[in-house]
Amino acid sequence: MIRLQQTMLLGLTLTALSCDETTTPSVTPPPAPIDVAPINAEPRALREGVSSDGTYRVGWEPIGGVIPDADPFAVRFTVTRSDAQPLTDDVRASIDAEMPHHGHGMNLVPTVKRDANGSFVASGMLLHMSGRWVVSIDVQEHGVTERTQWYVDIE
Amino acid sequence: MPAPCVCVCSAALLATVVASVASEPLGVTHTPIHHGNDCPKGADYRATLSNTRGVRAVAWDGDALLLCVADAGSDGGLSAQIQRTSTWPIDDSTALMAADSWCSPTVIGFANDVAVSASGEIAVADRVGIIHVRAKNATMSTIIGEGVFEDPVSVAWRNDALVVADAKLRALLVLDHNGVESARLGVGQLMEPSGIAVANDGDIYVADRLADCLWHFATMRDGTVATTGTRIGESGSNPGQFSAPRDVAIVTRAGTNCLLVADELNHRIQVLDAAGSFVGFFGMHALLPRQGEGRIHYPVSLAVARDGETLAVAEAFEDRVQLLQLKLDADPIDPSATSAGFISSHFGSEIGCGADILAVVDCEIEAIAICDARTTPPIHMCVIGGGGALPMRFGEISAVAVLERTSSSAANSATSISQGEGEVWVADRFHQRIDVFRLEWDKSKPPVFDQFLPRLVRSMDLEAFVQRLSVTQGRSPLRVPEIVDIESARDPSGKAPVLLLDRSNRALIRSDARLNNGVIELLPAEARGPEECAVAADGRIAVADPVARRVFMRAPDGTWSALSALGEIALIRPSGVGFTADGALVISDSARDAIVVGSVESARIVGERGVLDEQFWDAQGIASSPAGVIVIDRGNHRYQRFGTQSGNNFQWNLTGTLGRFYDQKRRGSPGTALEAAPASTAPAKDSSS
Repeated sequence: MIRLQQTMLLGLTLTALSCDETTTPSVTPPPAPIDVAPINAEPRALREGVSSDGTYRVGWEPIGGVIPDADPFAVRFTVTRSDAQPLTDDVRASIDAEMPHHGHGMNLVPTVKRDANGSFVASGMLLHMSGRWVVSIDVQEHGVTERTQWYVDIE
Repeated sequence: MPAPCVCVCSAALLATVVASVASEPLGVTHTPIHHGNDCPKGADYRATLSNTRGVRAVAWDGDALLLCVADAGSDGGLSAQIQRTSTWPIDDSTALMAADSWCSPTVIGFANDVAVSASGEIAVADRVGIIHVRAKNATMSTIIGEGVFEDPVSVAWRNDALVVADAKLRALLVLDHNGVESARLGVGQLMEPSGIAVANDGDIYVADRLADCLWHFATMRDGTVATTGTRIGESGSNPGQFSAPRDVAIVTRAGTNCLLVADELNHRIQVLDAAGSFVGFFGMHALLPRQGEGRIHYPVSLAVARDGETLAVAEAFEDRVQLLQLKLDADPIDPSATSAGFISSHFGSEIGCGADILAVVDCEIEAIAICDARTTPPIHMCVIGGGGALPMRFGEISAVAVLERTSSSAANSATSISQGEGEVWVADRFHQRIDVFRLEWDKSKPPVFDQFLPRLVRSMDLEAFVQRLSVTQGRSPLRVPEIVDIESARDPSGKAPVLLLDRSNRALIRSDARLNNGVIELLPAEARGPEECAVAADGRIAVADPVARRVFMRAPDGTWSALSALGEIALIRPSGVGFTADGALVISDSARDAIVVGSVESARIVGERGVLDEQFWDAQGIASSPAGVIVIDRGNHRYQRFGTQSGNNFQWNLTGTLGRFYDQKRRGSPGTALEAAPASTAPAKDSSS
């Protein structure tokens, strides 16, 4: 946590320093990223996406349909390969969430279990403050991890 | 590189100090968290031995202080690597002299550490993989441990036995006089063992630089040492926490042992009692580079004199040894340590540039600063990483590069993730993996600082990768690669677009973009500690090795040669290497505080030690950018950029840190007339150095 705070401090410091330069970068809130998984301004059930290197298609939804405000919740997610091949036996998946502008993640560490039909259930998720979060699901096979991520705005 | 990162002031330290003094007026004596023992909690400044070039370790031999000075003789004519003080007591004028002929550079390759036994025997840990042992007053030394050690970083005596910390074996080895190993300690526990101390009762303490802790190996009833250690401390900057502890020493007070720890990246000496409980700290912190006089900057080695009061502190970064007098009372906190104006960037030695992206390492927070390389100055856009265990968080960054986009699968292109073509590759030696990132960067818009820009593409485990490597010659089994540089392999077929420099196996690895397959090619046998590589447009590959003091050159036909000099200029500690656009070599020599530019036939030195533009304090990594060759000037907390071509075009054109830049030379810089940049008109701003 200390180093996360340091990262945030550095970013703020650098932003402030940059304001003195001849070429002044904007410090206004950044525009929404282009052509990425959709920002979830409204509660929505299923969110789907393709991993950053294209190998997996991943979908997730909060169990119960909505993400509660500052309360723990669980999610169910599915992973399939884009090339339609089956996942290997050593596949591992994890889920996390962080707030890049604040430099921190969740206060809880979720646990992930795979159920009988091959989907994954993560319990212990908690988006504990309002603002934009990045929810990410990592899938690992053969020592290579790929990430799929979504923006989630908590009002 | 095992050497430390750059720091004027770490945010963590600042936070600690601010927290410590929040309820007190500045300058008052702080109250340590104290368990009532008699351990020293402060130290008074006594003297400085300066110009001890790159001093790595100290030990007392009676009243004389021995110093490991691997870079002795910065003119290239290397003198003894072990030097000793001539008189006692030591003061600022005390002369250093060669310890003896047995420690000449022809005998000792690269002195990492030195230890003296109670009977006067001297042991030297040599980074080439051996231990030199010299009997008291002998003129010759014997060699033990050949073929046993991989990277012996420190040595200590335990009665007649030697205890050696090996950073690559990640263990302590106990050997007798003949080099026969009798025990191996801490296997599976130690991450990167560093300095060792042996207590009077035979207990062994070792600093673990990567794990940010000490390990205690207790003496058993039969006199042997437990092979499993007990951990002391954790990562951080608060009392009792460590950031890259490098050495430990022991003083005895009232019959109990007190541990003194060189807490390198916290820039202080911490004191613990024998149980590992925090007692106090002193020496923190050299906010001003070269501050000294009791303020400590990157301590790497400690030694307590036989008077039990005099502490020698080696600071390799500052090329000096400070002598301090231990005392029971705590020191007052330096009020200047709370000045926020000193916050600066803390560059590591690595740098990468390509596809309009400049990436530099902030090694104190384990993060990558990303800048827009199209502009002068480069605009800082985001920070990738920070400390942590998950992908996109780093334990210790050992390499960074910006490569052209390496994936082209149909599925991948369908994601339309990136507006840019570059990928940022980051090697993490602690977690033994490589993470690859892209930026969601719309280049048509003005740059903004946006922490949402970076996106993890994939994270690749190097332990799994090594199982898939094939070897072109020689060695088996392979170790898990320690990647210290990443380059584009310029492979026209596109099958192996990535070139990795592996310090662990002393090899180059050519791989596909997902590390599914790779071919490893061992470096020449004389390679010792390769640090950085570069690939020329014509296919030549250069590898800088500061331990072997060579730059190894691989011709496109696969033949190797070794350069100990460029032109007439000897290479003392070549730490970085690159090529200009016209194919000339650029080598940063951190012992010279300069870069060497040219070819085998002729070369010239650019730079000298100093803080002005076109001067360096520990020149390190090199990267090529469209606007010129960028060199990390680590000790001055900045980078400098020079022209793209060799010859007269190779001129300084930019000095930059994160947030502050200069494209006009400051007054007094080499080659700048005073009238060229009068203070009233010069756009340059003062440096944070």
